[in-house]
Amino acid sequence: MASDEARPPRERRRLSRFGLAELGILVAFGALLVRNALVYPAIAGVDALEHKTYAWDLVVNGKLGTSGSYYTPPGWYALAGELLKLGDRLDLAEIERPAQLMSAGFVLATAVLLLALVERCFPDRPWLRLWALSAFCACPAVVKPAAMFHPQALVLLLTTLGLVCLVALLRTTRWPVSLAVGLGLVLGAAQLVRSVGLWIYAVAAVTFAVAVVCASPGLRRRTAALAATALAVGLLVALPWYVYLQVEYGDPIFGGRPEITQGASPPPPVRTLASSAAAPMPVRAPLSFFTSTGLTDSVTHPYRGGGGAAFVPILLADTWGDYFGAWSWGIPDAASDPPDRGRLSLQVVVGGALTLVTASGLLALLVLVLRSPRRRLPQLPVVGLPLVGLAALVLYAWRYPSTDGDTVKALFLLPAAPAFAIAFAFAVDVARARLPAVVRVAAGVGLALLLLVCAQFGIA
Amino acid sequence: MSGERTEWRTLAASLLVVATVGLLWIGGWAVREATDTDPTALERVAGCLGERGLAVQVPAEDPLAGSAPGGSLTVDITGNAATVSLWQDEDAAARTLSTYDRLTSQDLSDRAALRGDGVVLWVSPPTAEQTSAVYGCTG
Repeated sequence: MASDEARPPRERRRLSRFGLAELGILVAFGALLVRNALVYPAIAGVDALEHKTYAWDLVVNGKLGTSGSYYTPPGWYALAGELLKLGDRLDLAEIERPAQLMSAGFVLATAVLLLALVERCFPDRPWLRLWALSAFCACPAVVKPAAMFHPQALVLLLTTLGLVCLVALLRTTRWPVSLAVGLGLVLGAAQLVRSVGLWIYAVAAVTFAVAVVCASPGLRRRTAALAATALAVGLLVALPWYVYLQVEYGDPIFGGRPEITQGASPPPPVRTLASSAAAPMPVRAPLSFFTSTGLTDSVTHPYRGGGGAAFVPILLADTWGDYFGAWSWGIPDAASDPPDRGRLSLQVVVGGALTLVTASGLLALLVLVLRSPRRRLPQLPVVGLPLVGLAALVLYAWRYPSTDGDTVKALFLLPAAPAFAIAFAFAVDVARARLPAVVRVAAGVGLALLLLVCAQFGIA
Repeated sequence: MSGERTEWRTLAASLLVVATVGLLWIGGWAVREATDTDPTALERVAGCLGERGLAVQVPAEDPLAGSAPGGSLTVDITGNAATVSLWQDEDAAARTLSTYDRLTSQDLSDRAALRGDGVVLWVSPPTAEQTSAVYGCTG
């Protein structure tokens, strides 16, 4: 990569302007996240009570996995429990606040890592970096968990750190063992936070396999040795947790969760003559659950109980809006407030447009990586992570159908959010370079406005 | 640059593919909406009773039941018969039950039943087996 001094002065100035813009976005993003973490009611977060019980019992009482989240590894709970103790010692009205601020810090750090990741995957493309950062910071699916008492923000950070280390390893010509061991530690740490930490491990394994195949004969052995080192360390770090789950519950990943082994319990049926003979819960989600548009309810009533409960509509509504009501409506201290339907509908429409751009960018990147795997090897993990995440989400929703879409939360996809943001930015950057000036400016302003609408929704 | 051109062409093709899939997806929904009609509540009840091997007659000969906005039917079951009428809501169904009560001097307490927004009137007091079979289809 060319050093800063080697660049012509005009390019340096341009880069510094981009640097300032990125800094401005990061400062605004940080302020938003801190504010949200300070005002968002901790108890409103996804499964907040379960997480609090687990963290408190782990750190204060020394008991592992005492709540309904017993199947979740203890990595984040150890940190959160210490912060609960700190909140208690400080006599805070809500002792979860320090841990919520920790979530905000994790997401902010991820935004910084995102810049490093883009620079390594797409060197010297400042517009791509800027759009990726903007999309990441504006997405409600990213902003919401940053205010919550929830482990997902930490697995997001570790997954992104894993991506950065992996891409750095692929780009270096020296292939240092220390970086491979470091990557392995990150891969293992991610698995010790949430089961979705396995995604980056799988992506690293596939990327290394391609790297070995694409490597020149002289480098192949060294590549394979470093890959084996990273993957072995990653497995060894997480192994005790898998052994514990297997020994205690007979299932190393899900810990034999009742809703997984027996299926989710349906809500009490509301029966009238018109809805007589309610169908029993299916063992597996039907194909129609994945192909349904949910229209028109998915646009006019994009929230739980509003109809249109199918895979894509739920995922879209929860990514860009608030399908489950944990953010802008239905939280415990405002349970009787009806959702602002107009605002939620706007989010679905805006999010639909942004998703179209993101999906196009992801597909284009996939095709480009498949066509030139050797040249585009550092971009392979960025394409692979969202695909692994989506596949895992589809599998989960299919195997464990829920009557209210509870198994299709956008929160599950959070570790892949930086990669989705890069796919969005890639599409915008490529189009920017080819479109006529007027169209380019109009499209850029339009997309920026859409992102601003989303950013506004992220204010708690 | 050829790299830029390749990226642009691939992106344009991808955008086209994604937009086409999206349009086909929504188009499929629109066609289905235009051609599909959901079964009415009466059709669902009649279908359910039919699946249980019961003889169903639509509409019922009872003129009051016949005026129900949701429709009516008569079902024969092991020597007894029930007239089912579907009303717009529970209040309307309750008013129908009162009307039945006013129209006859007989005690209807063990022959007539309110089932949500529907009314079931039996020819004779039903057995547990008969109510189970019919009410299982009427909510």
